[in-house]
Amino acid sequence: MKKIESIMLIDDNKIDLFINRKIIEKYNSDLPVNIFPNANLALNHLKRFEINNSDPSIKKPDVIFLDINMPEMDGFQFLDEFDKLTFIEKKPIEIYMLSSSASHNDIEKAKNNTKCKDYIVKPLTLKKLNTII
Amino acid sequence: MMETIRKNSIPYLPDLKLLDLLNDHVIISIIDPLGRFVYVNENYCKLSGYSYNKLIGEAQTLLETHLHTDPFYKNLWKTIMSGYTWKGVLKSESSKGNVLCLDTTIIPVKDNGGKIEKYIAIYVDVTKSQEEYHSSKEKEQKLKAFTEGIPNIILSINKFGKILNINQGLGDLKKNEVIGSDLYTYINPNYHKKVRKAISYVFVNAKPSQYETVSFNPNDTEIHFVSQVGPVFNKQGQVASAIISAQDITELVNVKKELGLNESKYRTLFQSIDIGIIIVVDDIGNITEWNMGAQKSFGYTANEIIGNPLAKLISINNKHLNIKEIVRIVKKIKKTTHNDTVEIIGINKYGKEFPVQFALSKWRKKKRTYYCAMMLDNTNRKELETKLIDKTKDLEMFLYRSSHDLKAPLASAEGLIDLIKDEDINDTVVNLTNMLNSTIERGVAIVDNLAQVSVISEKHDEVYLIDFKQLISDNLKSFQGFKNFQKIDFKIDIINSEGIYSNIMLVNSLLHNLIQNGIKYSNMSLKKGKPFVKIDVKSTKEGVIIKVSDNGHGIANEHLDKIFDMYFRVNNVVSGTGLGLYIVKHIVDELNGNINVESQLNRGTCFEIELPNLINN
Repeated sequence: MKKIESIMLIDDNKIDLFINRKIIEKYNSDLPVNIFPNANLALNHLKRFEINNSDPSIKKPDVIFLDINMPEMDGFQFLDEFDKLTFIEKKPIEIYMLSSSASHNDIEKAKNNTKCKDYIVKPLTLKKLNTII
Repeated sequence: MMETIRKNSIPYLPDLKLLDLLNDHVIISIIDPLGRFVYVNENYCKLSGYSYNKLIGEAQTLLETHLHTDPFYKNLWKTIMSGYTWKGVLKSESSKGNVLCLDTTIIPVKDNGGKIEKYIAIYVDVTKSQEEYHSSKEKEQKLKAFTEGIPNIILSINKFGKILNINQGLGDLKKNEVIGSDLYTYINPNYHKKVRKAISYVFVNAKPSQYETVSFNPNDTEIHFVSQVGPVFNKQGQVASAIISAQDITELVNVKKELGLNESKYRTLFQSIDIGIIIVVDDIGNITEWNMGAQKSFGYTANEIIGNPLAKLISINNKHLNIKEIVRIVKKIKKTTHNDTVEIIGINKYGKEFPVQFALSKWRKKKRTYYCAMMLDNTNRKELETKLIDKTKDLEMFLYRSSHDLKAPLASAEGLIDLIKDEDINDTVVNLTNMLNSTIERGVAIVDNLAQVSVISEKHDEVYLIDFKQLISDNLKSFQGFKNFQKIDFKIDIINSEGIYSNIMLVNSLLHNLIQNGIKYSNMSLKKGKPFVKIDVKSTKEGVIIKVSDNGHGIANEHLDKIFDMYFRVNNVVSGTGLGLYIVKHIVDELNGNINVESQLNRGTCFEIELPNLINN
């Protein structure tokens, strides 16, 4: 298992962000967690790791937990935008869809998207976290 | 004795040969002035039925006597006694009791002194011809009575209309008064021209003709006559006169009038119906009748459209379609839709297309086939249907969205409870948290089911090859956290040699609900054996049979017919949403399948589902 140095959470629901952060803290309280209440902010953050404006002082995330249903930009749109980014560092980022939706459509769509590693049904629990990381 | 008499009698007759001749063919008797037979020939014997010997010397009865009171016989005797020959028909009864008619001639024969010596009577049997005469006479009389019974007037006229003869009087006028008068005096002047034309036609063309007239009887009611005029030819073959027979057809006319009234009533009704389109079409497909409804929907007036082909009103590529092809098309659509009416696209005067319900019926009249096309403008219904479909879609969308949106807060709540459990809390809070947890679980179950209901109508046309092994094992995995899951024996038997195509989401949902029920209603206090849930899948060429059976609590007979109803729950012992089997039934219907259930309380339940293969080869 590779070492995880940083985790990014993208969710418009503050309570879910709180729950997920708490669960990650329980998993490893030293793990830095970056929280974004919408996908645009997260995308802008990630753009800082691009070739032209890279800032070595901050860490690129290893894992992103991405909500699907969000205003402005939803999880799938984020995946499309993420695909356009060109990172200076070749370290891969694993993206997990984290959603309350049990819709077959959403699950299939997520599993068929190559950028998405897996689909987790909310709520995130320690048990679920242990199985993926 | 016979010899003597013959000898005595014969010499008085001039010609023996003649007598012999007469003897063979006529009936002869000779009587003396006192009326006794002095001679009879064989024919007479035959006629009377007595022998010669018996008759001779006896008094004859055929001619009665001069003392008879009947004027007929009185006259007869008076004539012959005066020395004149009598001729007439006598009636007599034969020995067998039949009435005979005899054409009789009695000739008195005088002696030298001029005194009547004997009478020679010659008879000819005319019984047969007499009978014929009478029967024909009778017939004639009957015929006369018959013709007189009909209020027919038969008259003959010359070409100027002068009445030459008539069979009866007219009104108050006697027959004699009518003869010689002018026919036209009895006819309403309004009809003179018409009658003159008919009569002149008969005289000029030597062919029969007819005319109808109306006159009024004293009660001022109309009397209708139909008069046939026929030519009467003279020896030169020219039309000498004409015979007119007038018949009272008032009753007939009244019946006709009533029929006409009815017909016009129905015609008006038919033409004014404006909610339905009724079009009558002849056997080549041309429109012969057109009603208001048709005008309203198609825009053509009756004058504009009658005579045009029906195909003009139907939006089918071939505008020159004949009626047979339309019938064929209608039949074809009928076959595929199993409906009495078919829906086709009509096209109006301005080229606008609109949907119509179309029904075609046909009937035959005078060897011609007519078709009646009945249509109902479906535009409004279609609009409503579309609206309804949209509304239903909205509603489904709403259900889908709300069920998914509700899941989010419930998932958050679950997450929060998860966190609370890890906090340092006292027993009371632990208890409350557990209760809150089960409440939220129930909420999640309801929302999950609602989401499934909304999924049913979504994309059910997506058909994939189904891997039952994978589907069942995925499902079983999802139930691992369920209460009692570990204690249940799952028996899975899949025979899937044929590739079954169906909607994978729906089949998954189906299996999910049935397996879930099997787990939920399992009996943990069995006296014998272990609780099981058995899943059998067997594919055939036609489709697949899925059996999910268990040895759980079972369903009481009285509930069996209600288990597929929405929100029906047998009891509150086991938590449920009342939607599971409703969803199952709904899915089976959606996939054109069948579902059967057998259950015995405390014994177990077996669901058997047949699903067709949605892609054949």
